[in-house]
Amino acid sequence: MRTLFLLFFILSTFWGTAQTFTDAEIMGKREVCLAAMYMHDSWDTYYEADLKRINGNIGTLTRQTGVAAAVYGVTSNLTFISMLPFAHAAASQGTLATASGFQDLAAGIKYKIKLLDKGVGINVFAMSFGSTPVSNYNTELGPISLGANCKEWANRAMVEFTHKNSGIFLRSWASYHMRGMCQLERTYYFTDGAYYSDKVNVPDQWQMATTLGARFLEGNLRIEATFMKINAIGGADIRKYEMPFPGTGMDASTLSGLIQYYPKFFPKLGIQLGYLQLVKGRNAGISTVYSGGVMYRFSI
Amino acid sequence: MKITKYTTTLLALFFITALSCNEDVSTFVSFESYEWTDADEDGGSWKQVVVSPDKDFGIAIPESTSSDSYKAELLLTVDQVQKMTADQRKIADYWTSNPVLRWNEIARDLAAKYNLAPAPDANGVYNLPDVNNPSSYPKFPFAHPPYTCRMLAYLQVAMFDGLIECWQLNKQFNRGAPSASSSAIEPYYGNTLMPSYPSQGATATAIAQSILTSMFPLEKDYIKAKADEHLQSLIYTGLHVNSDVVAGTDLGTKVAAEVMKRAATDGMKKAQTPRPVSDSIKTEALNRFGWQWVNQEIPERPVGITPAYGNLKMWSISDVKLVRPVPPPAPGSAAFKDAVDELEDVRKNLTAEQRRIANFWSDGTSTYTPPGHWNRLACDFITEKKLNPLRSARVLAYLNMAIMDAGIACWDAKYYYHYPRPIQAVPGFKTILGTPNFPSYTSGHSTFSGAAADLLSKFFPEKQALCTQWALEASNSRIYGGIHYRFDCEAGLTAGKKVAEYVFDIAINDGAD
Repeated sequence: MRTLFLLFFILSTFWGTAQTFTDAEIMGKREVCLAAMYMHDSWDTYYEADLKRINGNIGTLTRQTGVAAAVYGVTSNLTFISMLPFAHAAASQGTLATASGFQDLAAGIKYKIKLLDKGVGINVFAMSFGSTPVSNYNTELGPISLGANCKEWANRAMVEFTHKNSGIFLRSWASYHMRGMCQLERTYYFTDGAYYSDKVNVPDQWQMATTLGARFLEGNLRIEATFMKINAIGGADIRKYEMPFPGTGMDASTLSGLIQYYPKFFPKLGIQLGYLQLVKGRNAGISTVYSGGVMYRFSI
Repeated sequence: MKITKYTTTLLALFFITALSCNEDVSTFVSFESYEWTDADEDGGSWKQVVVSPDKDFGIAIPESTSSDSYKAELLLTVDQVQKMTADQRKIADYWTSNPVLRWNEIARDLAAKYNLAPAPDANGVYNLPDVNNPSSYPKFPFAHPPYTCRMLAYLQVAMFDGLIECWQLNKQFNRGAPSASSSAIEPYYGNTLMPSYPSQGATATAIAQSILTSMFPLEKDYIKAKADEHLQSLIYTGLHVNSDVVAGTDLGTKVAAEVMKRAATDGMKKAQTPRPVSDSIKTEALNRFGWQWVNQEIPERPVGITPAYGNLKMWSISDVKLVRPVPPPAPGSAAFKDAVDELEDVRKNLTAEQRRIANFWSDGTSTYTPPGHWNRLACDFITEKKLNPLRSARVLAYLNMAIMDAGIACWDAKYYYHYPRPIQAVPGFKTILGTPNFPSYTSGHSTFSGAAADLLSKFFPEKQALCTQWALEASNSRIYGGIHYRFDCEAGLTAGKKVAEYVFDIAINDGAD
């Protein structure tokens, strides 16, 4: 394999979950890739249910995330991926505290099945990945919270068509994300009704995306654009002037672009730049995300 | 082979995770129906709180159990008992033998639903809920702690007075329960051996329906549906014939109206003062003490929550000044600096346990508030002791009188001293809890909790250590949350305890013990 991958976006509802497993790259056997990424996600307008609003007690909310990732080619068809984000969130106005700490450790596998390898290549991928919070972060800080503090397990199917001569590719994926219970530090909450419990059902999600892109310079340069949709299964709306809550159902549609480059003179090193914009949402911040990262790969 | 192993492991993990997802989360407090430890058959002689002893509600004299009309009613009850469905069983199990507790819970949940701070409009103006136009935004009511504790006080005082009246009429008319006249009826919750005209459950439900509808006018239909559900269950559980229920409903409605007369003139209408009044209260404090609280939200809320709540008529104390605390240390003083040092230290070194306490007792918007939290704890004690509805209503009446009087005392101190919050007095100070829209001194949580813990300890002496610890936690939680100084909390706890003593003085003289 010429190119390596890693596309993360810390996205873009109120609390990002680290996104990976969105591309069609797979590692060579016994190949390792270590990566460091940085994301800058900010919004000043958000959807309170479907209503767009600003909030003087938040101003602009900025979430910066650093991610360390390690990827390993178990076989030439099976890649193992793991990553750990550290996030810092702060509001520019108001008096609520900032939050920072390790978010959710994610790990999983990606398995490739080659369907067609002619003028047009068709590859199908099956992925399974999960994440779990690794620090006891506070879920009661509304949009400043680091996450929904729940375990997640997702299964994703992806297909990619590549036109070999031009390097143009089209990729689509869909996945279902099972999300567990958030452990609260209180025994009562009211969202769409009263709940007498210290546990909140964090809504499951459907996610799907389509990407159009191209590989140039023998695959060392990749440019792509993606439309992605996240839909919560159930979950409550944020009521008027209420804070988001782990049980809130958050939807998002995003447009994003990515450039990835491996210089020919030092192909072990790669760089990546990304941009994402939330274009429509429900119970979500209208995020603009900039990201950058470096990857270093080697064989063992 | 390797891949198969991975796949198997993954699938296993997949199913384990799947199992851990989507647990059922209860939407109500589950407790079993129980047989009362004591029916308090002389409860009709206890002293009422609002209703005067010579008041006659004109409840119709019942037909005797040997009359034809009673026999006809009895047949209908028998018929319904025999046809009881699985759904009806569920409803009966939900209401239990003590509907007083379920109504307290419904009241708390309504408070949580309506406990949302009004948002500013597009021009940055905060509009207030309007009782005459409850459905226009912001909806009426905003069930903040002062509103909620008053709502619970009237609900529970009316329940107590109404059930005393009911117990008295039960004894006076002495009409036996359907199970005494028909061997085909086995009362669903066990036999209380109490006379059953008027129905105790119907009395409680009619009171709850009247008072909650008046407190939450937009919930009229929801409350009616709940009430109807319970009233119907009184027949198919075999507890009553229809005329028991009709008389109970009549009694409950009349008692609620009598008690709500007090509510109409207790001063609540003037509690949310217009801006000029609020400004003059603020200026008075500045002139008197040299400081004033200013709301720090963006845009600034021009008027705090219920500045004149301290003027409300108290249940137990003739003059709120009897429990007004001494002035707080002046900003800049050594005592003030010590308190700020503690807040800065907590902010920098907050432990997991301190954060848990801050969140556990936070009881902020979209919750039942601290008064609701203490009501929930009281209901747990009541079920543990298997108290009958009358005795439950007694505990909850005095508890909520104490909590509301504590609220009045606290609000008096808040707007008399008009003390700035930490986020105002300490530049750049940040908090993990939202700072409420009223002055700092004294802490509402501490005052409510001091009163509630003290009062509950009187009724449940075995719970004293627990209650005292909880009150201290609730009080400290505000320091951990960064929204109160320690002197706010200590003065609040002390005032709350004092208030509870006044209320308990009434309780010990009501003839129940």
